[in-house]
Amino acid sequence: MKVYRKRYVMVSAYPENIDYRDVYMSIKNCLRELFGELTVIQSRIRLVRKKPVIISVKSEFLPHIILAITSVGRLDKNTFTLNVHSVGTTIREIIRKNGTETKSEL
Amino acid sequence: MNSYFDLHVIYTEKIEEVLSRLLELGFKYVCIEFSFDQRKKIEDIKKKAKEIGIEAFSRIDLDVRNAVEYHRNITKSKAFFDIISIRKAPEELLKNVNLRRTHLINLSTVTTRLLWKIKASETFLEFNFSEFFSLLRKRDRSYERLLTNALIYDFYKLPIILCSGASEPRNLLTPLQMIYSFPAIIGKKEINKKYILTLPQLLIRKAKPGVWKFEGI
Repeated sequence: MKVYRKRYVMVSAYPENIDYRDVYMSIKNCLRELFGELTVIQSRIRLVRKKPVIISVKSEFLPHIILAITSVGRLDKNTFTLNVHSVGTTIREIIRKNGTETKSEL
Repeated sequence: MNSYFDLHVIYTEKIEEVLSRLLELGFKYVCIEFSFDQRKKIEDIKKKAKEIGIEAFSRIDLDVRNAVEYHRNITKSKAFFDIISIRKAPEELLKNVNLRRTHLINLSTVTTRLLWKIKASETFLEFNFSEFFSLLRKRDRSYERLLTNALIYDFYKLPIILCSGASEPRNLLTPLQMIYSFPAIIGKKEINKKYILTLPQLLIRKAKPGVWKFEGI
């Protein structure tokens, strides 16, 4: 079985208190609109945490996913926009990154 | 924490909210677009930004149609604004005027035929995310031109600066979003933070010599 490298992305909505299902579906819809259905499948996008919203994705599709996240509310008719706060190889890492002073560290 | 730059935020009533949000997102320097009539508000806004904890610069975006207008507007603006940017100008005009007088040119207004002239004049180019999304939303064909320009100018290593172009807090992007989205847009694999870190720093140093006393801010 081929093992693929995963990346975890922490996402927040602006304004806050948006349901995690809306956030996840809007990301998927934007990804589909920008890059097509095949990318949605190949990227292996999954929701791994509800609060804060954390999604996992195949590492090579990370820029595509971040562009899709950026497009939410800017390209479609959603009333909210999304921001990416941290990217990491483990869930613990990105929670730690976001908890400390580095909110938007590379 | 890195000192990221967002060199294009539009001045509106919500500017204080925008500045606070920028600080939250991890930016330390911002450039606010004012119109010529709003020039008296610049100092006031810069003070407010400093209180919030962010360093602000001013910029003006010019739409010019001929050489006379180009030179007149730049001369007029130099006294009030830190950065002078060209938003719209005909190709013929950009071919014939001295581009060293401007600091920034919007990527959607240039053409690939101007590449060597821009490279020689050491002018910086701006990729505006708000503009990109608005062109993409309208299915306007000019976004293809914007993308082609971004791809070619980046390939030839011309200095491109990424800006949000936001007028309200919801349109702001985090530094991570800017850095990762741009390669996805132009189909490049390499992720580089120079677009919002070293290149804007160079531009500010060029536009306002002596603004920072030390190397590396």
